[in-house]
Amino acid sequence: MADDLPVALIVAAFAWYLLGERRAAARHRGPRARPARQRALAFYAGLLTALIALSPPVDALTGKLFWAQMIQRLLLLTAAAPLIALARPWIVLWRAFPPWLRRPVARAVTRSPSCAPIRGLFRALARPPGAWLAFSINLVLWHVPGPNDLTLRNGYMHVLADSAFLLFGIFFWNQVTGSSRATSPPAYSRRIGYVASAMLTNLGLAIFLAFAQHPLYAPYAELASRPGGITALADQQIGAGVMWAAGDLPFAIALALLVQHWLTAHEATASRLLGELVAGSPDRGRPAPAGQPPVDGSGRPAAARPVPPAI
Amino acid sequence: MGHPEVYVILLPAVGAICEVITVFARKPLWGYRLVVGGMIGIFVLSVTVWMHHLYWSGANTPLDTPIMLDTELISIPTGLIFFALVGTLWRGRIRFDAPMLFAIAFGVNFLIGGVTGLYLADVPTDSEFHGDMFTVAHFHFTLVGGVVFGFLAALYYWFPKMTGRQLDPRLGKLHFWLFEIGFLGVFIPLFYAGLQGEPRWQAYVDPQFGTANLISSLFAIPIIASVAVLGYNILISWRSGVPAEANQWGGRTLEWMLPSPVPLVNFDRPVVVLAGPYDYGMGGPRLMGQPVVAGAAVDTAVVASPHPDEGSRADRARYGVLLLVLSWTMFGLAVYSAYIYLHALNTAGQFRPSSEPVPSTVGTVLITVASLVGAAVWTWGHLGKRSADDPRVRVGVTLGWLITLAGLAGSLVMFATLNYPAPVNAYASSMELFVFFHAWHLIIALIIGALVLGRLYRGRLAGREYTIECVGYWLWYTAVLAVVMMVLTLALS
Repeated sequence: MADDLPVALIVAAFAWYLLGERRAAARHRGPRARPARQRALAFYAGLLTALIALSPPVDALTGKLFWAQMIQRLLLLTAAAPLIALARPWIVLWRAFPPWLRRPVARAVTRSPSCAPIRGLFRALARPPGAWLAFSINLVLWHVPGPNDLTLRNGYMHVLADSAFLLFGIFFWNQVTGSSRATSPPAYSRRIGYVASAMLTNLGLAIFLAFAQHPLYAPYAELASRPGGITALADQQIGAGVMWAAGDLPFAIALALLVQHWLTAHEATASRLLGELVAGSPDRGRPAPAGQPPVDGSGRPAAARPVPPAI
Repeated sequence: MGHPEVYVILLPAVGAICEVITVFARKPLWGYRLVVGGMIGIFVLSVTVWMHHLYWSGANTPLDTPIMLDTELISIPTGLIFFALVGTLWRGRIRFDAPMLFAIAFGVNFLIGGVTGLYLADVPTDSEFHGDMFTVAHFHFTLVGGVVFGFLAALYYWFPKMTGRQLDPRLGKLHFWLFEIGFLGVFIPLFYAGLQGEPRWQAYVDPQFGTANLISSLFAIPIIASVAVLGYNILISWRSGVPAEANQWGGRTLEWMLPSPVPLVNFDRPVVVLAGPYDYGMGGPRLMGQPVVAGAAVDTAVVASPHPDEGSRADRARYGVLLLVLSWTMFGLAVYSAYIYLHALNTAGQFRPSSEPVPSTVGTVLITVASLVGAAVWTWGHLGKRSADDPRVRVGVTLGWLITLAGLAGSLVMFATLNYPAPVNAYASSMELFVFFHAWHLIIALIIGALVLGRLYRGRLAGREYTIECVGYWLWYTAVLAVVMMVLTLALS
C-alpha cells in the first residue's frame, strides 16, 4: 500500500489538473495564451520528475543504496519542486472542485477561526524566512540517522519524508520564482542571497556526509551486500558526492537566471528614465542649486518621486 | 585545496578582458547575458570542485566521480564566455594596441590552459599527470597566461587613467611580444616533458628530459627581458610620458568621463547612468555637467549635488573597518575549522604527541583577558560618543592602548616559550599559528591605535572621534578571536 501511494497521488494530481483545465476551457473558448501553456508544461514536467523519483528503478533501489535515496530526494527537492513552483498550478487545481463546493470551502479556509493556525502556518511558509528555514530544517532533519532510519524501516514514514521534501521544496522555490501568491516577490538581491545561503546548507550537509568516517545509517550498514558490491561507507560517500556535485547545480542555474532577470529589470528602468530625460524640458538634468532638494530627470524633487519597482 | 581562489583571481581578469575587447573592437559585448550567466556559473561551481585536488591524497575515492563531473562542467560557463569574446571580435574594427594584444593573448593562453585542465579534471588521466610537469605547464597557462595577461591588459588599459600619462605604445608592444613568445616557449616544452613522465618537485633533471628543459630554460630569457621592458616603460612613462587624454581609448564607461588622472573626489556629485556602456557610434561620450540636448546620446545625468560630508566619512570608515573584520573573520574561521577538523580526525590520540606540551593555561588566559580588558577600556573612553577634549577619552584610550600592549608582550613571551622541537607536527604548528595570529592582530590594533593617540595628543582629533570607534571594532574583534583560540587551545588539545 505504502509503495503505491506516491504514484497514485501523482496520477491523481495529474487527473485533477486535467479536470481543472477542462473546466477552464469550457468557460473560455479559443486558443490558450502562451504563458498558460508553458505553465501547464512546467507542471507536467514537475509531475514526471516526481514520478521518475518515486517509481522503479530509483524507488526500488532506495532501500539498498543511500545514493539512490539521495537521487530520489534531490529530484523531488531541486527538480520537481522548482518546476511545480514555476507552474503555479493552484488556480487550475482549485477550479477542478465543483462550483457548489468551492465557495463554502474557501469561506471556511479564509474565515473560520478553527483554520487560523493553518492560515498562520501558510503565511509563515509563504515568506522568505519561513520558507528558507523550513527548507533547511527539513533537509538536515531527514539526514539525521534516527529519522532517516525510520523512513527506511517504515513505508509510510518514507512517503511522509518524500512529501515533506516536495512540499517544503515548493514553498522554498516559490520565493525564488516570484510566484508566491501570498506576498509580493522579494527583491532580486534578496532572492540571490536566499538561494546562495540555501545552497550553502546543502553543500555543508554534503561535506559533512562525505567526510563522515563511519556509515551513519544503520539500515544501510546492516545490509549483507549492496548492488555494485560497494561497502556501506563507499555508498554513503557516493551519496554525499551526488548531493555535493549534482545537488548544487539547480541552485547555480537559479542564481544565473535570477541575475539575468535582475539585469532585465534594471534595463527596463534605465530605458524608462532615458525616455523621460530625452523627452523632458530644458532644465531637466541640471545640478540642483545648493540647499535645494535634488532634482531628478522627471523635474520633481527626488523624495516625491514614485518608488521604482524593487530591482 | 585553494580552488575557489583560482577563480577569485581569474574572474576580475575576465571582467577586464571583456572591457578591453569591446573598446578595441568598437562593438558591444556580444552576448552580455551569456557572460554574466557564465561568470555566475563559474562562481558557483568553483566553490564545489576543490575536492579534485585530493584525488590522489587517499582521502575519499568514491567521491571522485561526482567531483570529476562537476569539475568538467566548469568548461561550459567558461566556454560561454569565450564564445561571447570571439563573437565580440567578429567583424569588429579591431585596433591592436597593447591592451588588446594582451587581451587576445589571454584568450589563446587560457584556452590552452583550460583544455589541458580537462585532462587533469579527469580522474584516470589525472592519475598519470598529477605528479608531473604536465600539471606545472597547465597551471602556468591558467595563472600566468590567463590571470597575469589579464592583469597586464588592464594595466595598459587603465594606466593613463590612473597616472595621467600614457605608457609608451612601442615599448608596450615589445613587452607583449617578448612575453608571449617567451611564455609559450617556456611552457609548451613542459607539456611534452610531462607527457614523457618528468616528475614535478624535483631539482634534478633526468637526461632524457634534457632537451625539453633546455628549450624551456632558454625561453625564460625573453620573459626576463620583457619584465625589464615593462619596468622601464612604467618608470619613464610615469615620470615623463606623453600626457594622457581624458578618454584615451574612446571608452564609454564612467571613468572615461573624468579627467586623467582621476581627481580625488572623482565625481563631485552622484550620477545616474542612463545608456549602455557599449553604444559606440552614438557620438562621443559626453562630459559631466553639459546641458542635456533632446534627442542626443545621453550618458549620464546629474541628480544631486552635495559633497560627501563628515557624517558620510564616518559611515564609510565604519563600513571599511567592518568589511576588514568580516574578511579576517572568514580567514580565522578557516584556521579554526582546520584545527577542529584535524583534532576530530585523530581520535587515536596522535593529534597531540606527548612530547608537545599544551601551552600554559595561566598565560593563555592572561593574554585573552588583556585583549578583552584593553578593548573594554578603549571603548569606555569613547562611551556615549564623547568629544575629543573630554579628559575621560584620553584616559580610556591611553589605558586601553597600554593594556593591549601588555597583551602583545604576553603573546610574544608565549611565542618564545612554546619552543616546540622540529620537525613540527599539526598540533605544534597550530599552537604557534594561534599565538602568532593573535599577536599579529594586536600589532595592527596598536599601530592604528597609535595613529589615533597621536592625533588625540596633538589636539587634532576633534570632529573625527569616529576613528576611536573604528579602532574599537578591531579591538573587540581581536578579543573575540582570542577567546575562541583560548577555548580551542584549552578544551581541544
